[in-house]
Amino acid sequence: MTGRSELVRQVLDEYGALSQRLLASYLRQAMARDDVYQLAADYPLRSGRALRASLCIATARAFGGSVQDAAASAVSLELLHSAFLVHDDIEDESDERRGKPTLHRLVGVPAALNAGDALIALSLRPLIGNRLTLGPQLAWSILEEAERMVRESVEGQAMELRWRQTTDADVSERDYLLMILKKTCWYTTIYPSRVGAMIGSRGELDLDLFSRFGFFLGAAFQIQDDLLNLTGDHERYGKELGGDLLEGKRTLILIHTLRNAAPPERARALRFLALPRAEKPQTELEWLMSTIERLGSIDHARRVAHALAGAAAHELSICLRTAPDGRDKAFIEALPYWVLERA
Amino acid sequence: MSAPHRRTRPHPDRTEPRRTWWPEGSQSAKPPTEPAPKDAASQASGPADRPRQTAYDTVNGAYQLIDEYLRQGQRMAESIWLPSEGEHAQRPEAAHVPNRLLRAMGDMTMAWLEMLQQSAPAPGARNPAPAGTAGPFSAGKSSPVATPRDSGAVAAHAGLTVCVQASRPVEVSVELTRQLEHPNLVATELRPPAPGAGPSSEITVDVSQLEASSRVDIVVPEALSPGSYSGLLLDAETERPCGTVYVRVI
Amino acid sequence: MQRSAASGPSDPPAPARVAIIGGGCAALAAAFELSRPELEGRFSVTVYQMGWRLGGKGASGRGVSDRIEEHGLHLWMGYYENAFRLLRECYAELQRTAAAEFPWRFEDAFSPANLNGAMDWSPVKGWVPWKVRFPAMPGIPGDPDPPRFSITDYLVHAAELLRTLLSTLPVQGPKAAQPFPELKPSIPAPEQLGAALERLIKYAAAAGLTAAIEGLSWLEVLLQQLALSAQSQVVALIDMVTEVARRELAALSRGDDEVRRLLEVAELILATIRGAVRFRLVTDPRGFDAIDDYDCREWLRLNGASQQAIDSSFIRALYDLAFAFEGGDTDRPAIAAGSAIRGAFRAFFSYRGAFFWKMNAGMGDVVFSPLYLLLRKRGVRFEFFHKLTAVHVTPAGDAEPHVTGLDFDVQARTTSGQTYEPLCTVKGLPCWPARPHYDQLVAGDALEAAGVDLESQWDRRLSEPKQLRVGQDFDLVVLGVGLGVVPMVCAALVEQNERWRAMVERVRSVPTQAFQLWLDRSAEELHGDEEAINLSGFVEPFDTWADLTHLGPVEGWEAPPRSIAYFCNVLPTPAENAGDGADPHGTRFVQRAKAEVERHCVDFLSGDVRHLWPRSHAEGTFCWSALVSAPSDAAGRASGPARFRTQYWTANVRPSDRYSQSLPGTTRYRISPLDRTYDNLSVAGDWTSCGINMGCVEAAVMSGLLAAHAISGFPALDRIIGYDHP
Repeated sequence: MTGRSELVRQVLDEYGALSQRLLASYLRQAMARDDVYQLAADYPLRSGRALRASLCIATARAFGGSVQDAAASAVSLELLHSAFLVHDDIEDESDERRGKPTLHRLVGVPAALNAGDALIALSLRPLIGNRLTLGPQLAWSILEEAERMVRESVEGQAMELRWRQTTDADVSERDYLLMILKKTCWYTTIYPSRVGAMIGSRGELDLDLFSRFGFFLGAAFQIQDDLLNLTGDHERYGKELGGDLLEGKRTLILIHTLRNAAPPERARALRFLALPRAEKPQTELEWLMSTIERLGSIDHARRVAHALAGAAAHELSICLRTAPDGRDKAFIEALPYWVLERA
Repeated sequence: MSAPHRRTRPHPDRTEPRRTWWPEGSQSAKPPTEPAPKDAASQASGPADRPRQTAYDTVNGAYQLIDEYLRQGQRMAESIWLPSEGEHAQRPEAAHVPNRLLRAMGDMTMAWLEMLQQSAPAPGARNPAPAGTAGPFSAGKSSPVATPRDSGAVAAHAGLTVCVQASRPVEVSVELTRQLEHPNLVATELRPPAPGAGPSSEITVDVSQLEASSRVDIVVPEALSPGSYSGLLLDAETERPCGTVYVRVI
Repeated sequence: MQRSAASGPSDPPAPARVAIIGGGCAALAAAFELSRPELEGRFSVTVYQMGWRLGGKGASGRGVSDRIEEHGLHLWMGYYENAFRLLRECYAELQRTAAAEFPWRFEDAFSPANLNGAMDWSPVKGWVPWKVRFPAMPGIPGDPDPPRFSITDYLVHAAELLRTLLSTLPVQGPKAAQPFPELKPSIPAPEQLGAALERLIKYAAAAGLTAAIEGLSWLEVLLQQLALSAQSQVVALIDMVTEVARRELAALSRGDDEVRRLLEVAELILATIRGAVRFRLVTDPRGFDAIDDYDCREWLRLNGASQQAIDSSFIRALYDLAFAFEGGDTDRPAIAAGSAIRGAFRAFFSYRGAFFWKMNAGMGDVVFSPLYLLLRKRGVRFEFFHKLTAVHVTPAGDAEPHVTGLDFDVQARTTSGQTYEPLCTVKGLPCWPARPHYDQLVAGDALEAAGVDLESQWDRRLSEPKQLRVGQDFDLVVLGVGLGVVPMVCAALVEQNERWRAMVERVRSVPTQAFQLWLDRSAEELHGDEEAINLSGFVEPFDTWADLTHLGPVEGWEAPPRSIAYFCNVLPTPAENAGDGADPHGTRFVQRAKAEVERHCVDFLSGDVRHLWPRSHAEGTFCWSALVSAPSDAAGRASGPARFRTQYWTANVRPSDRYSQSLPGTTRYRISPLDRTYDNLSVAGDWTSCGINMGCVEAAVMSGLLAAHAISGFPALDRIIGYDHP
């Protein structure tokens, strides 16, 4: 077990550092043009895991591509990821991100919003640059993938926002999975592995296999994230405990609780969730967290995350069967396990 | 047409068995979730059983969701946004696409128009989901030919014709993994699969192009020792593998 | 947004009325689940059964001398987890709540049967039984934690089995002494695997069988890892082992039948493993279903099995036991490869207790009596003498397709409206009689005199129609009738629904024939072996034989016969369709079929049976006088072949008696009990898509559990053992 996590950490560090260098040089050029890019550069340059970039690069290399081939797409993705984070933090009214204050806390909502938009614009340029490194045909396809990915993410986010606004909406597990598929999986795991596979194999592989893998892995990742939000170690995790509940975010855990609670408990929980964040009493939050634990929702979510990681591993055995053995392949194969182990 | 309170069955979460539930390579009897309940034989399933039931159901639901989603990809795209090319575009006639991209992406150059003029097959050419009979002969792209003694035999399928000459029982499988619009295929030598076992190949494989399809002629010599021999079909221009040839001499 | 199955039908507290049509394993399994006390009366269940007894194709009756008269041969296999579990729960609950009503416990009802075999044609000795004693495995089917395998696990087991078999073979000569020079306990790393494999293959030429055995242990490990990039290497390994096995064993087997059979089995196992790898069954999401379009023999041949292996007794027995003959024609054997191999793997590698289990009385007595008594105790209502004639549905294009009505023929009514009491008692055991209790029925004498065939879908004489309407008489329907009946009663569904049309066209049933003998000669006097055996794979017309002498004491003989034998086989589908024109009630058709079977029986006993029972013939004639008749039977005074009339035989040609087949290319047309095309209907039966798509008790029970899940959400699908299974 530890061997695998070690490998994942190493690869993430290495590709992370690589993306950071590329990002930094890319942003330097942009920052010279306008200050807004200064602001925009804040999030990308805070240290993070670079999971998405790493998955993209590793998949490309596993199928015979080079780092140079995949670099632009990886950078583009990290920029987009930062854009989403900026906007998410505003929507969630979060205070902290990766150990520092969120951007909108630093410079106010309007400026942060604009910085997020700037990041989106920035994320497109590298994809255009692919035309020269990868040839027009492949660059075109990647651009299409990016369009699809952005659209899905936006739609997924819209689904989630709707739920937060109508707090008594009866959200099922299946609805949740669909929302996760669109909002998180596409840009975290599906797009990076599809594009990486596309680059590495020069468009030869069946990409739907990666969609399946990406969905299961991303879903396991998200559920694990949600679990950490309620039960994780605050310092290592990087966000506040119970924050999701304060935001009224519909997670698998919360869905399970609402479904299995007795009617008076359910009503009480819904009332809590409907309150604005600032008005949610701490005591009620604690009650809700202990109810969640008591109804077995934490265990349920753990089991589901575990099973989804297993499904991801299974899909991988099919996706990667033509890839020769090597460090990149081992890294990808280790991801389903790492997703469950990380804190 | 139903009375106001007509009782109906509940909607099932699924209607098919899960035939690949156990991921390969895992220990034989363990599911990815927690151990089996201890009460199987003498107690009914009921609310007490539910945690295990829902964990399985959730993941089964996830499988169904992604399968449906992939099937519907195209339709979903169309219903919400402008018509999307989806996963596997039929590229050349998409005149409206660059306009949308122009608007969405900003500053464009002639390079995009240049890309439009490429008439290349779709990237990630899609292998259809398993359908029809399984086997090395899947997706209707090739045909198995088991020849009786003393005769040549011909099998034809869309895009591919296979002719075999052998004076002893052989089993032949030719599989095309990529359909090319203008195929120009060439076959490598057929060799036994054991590495380092040397070239076989007095088996000759000739590929010729008919109008829109390819013809593969295989001649198996009399004196060949029994065993399996396989080789590749390559695209002559790009040297990329497009298929396999497999001959088993019985 | 989906409603979860576990939430069930919504609010009104009054129970939902479920009409279960049919009284066989499938229908009663559904009734068992829906009437569980834990469901707290959410469903009010009524079982509609034609004729006087429950059981469907598993029904049995007590005839003259209270002898057991079965529909056919019923042996339960050790992998029938759901069937055994259900029955054990039934027995346990009956013990707790109504012990006085049924005197036997489960242990009294079922016994392990460990000696089985297939008839083998030896070039040296002619027909010889190939007897196999399967080792007893721990536990009893229906225990918790059943074994669960992936395809890889099965393949590993198969390789292990073969290695064990080969290792037990005494290897003669100088080669026996040479150990494999680099005996390593584990497979080398992938990069070195190629080279190591090459060495092994080269060595095989010299070392022969030892190398093959070593190769098999490598195969087991490789299969467990089964990196698909190693596929060609795995195939090469299998080829090597096959090659060696054939070469080495072919020489040995010429004089030795044991070795020859072993070679045949070895080839079959290797062909199966090879096929599973080549056809990528291990990762195909359809599992074994992926090869269901092939016939099993055809598929094995495609994967390198020789003609001899394919014609072996083992394969013949498999086809015989599954009545796998298209149109009942024994010259056209056919069975879907995937379903057959799945069944074989489960039968061989996941059985518990014994490979086969015998019942210690008739199946009706041991299975359907306790089920009937328990269900009645729980409040399930039984309407005997109700024969379904038509299912009515909403018109095509309706927004909510559902069943609107059910038409029945009421074949008889009880006098003074009492509930019909169907059972009789033989030696303290509640049983089903071979004929109805006419004395409980209105105009029973007339019914008896007219000879109405109450178990024939065709015979509609002296019955009155009855119509049930949805909302009034029932809410939900479980259709548990036999496959042969479905096209006759579901014309409305077939007409408007594409899938139902395809299903009745493609999924087929076949008539069977069976006979039972009671003899005053012992096993030793008939065939020289003392131990009871079940054998299959013999010649037509009766290729399957079971020795059930142990049933003698529960029948009503003054002195139990010294042998009891059951034979059965498929029956070719007769050309004419009964039930129209000159023979509207099918009576002549049934009589003709019965007469034809009698001829088959007499011919068989006059001839081929001597291969099974060498001592039963004296001077070229069968020992007809050894046949035991009931004292009251006039035919008992006859001699010679006419004495056969004292025995029991049956031609199972009536629609609901036909056996459900799994022909190649047809399993995908089966409809699942979970299918919700009609929102108040679920189908049940071994002809449905129920996980194990074969005609057997386990499939029927699984389908009944699925139907119950469809109606109520319980049991959970993962409680149906073997439903989720490659």
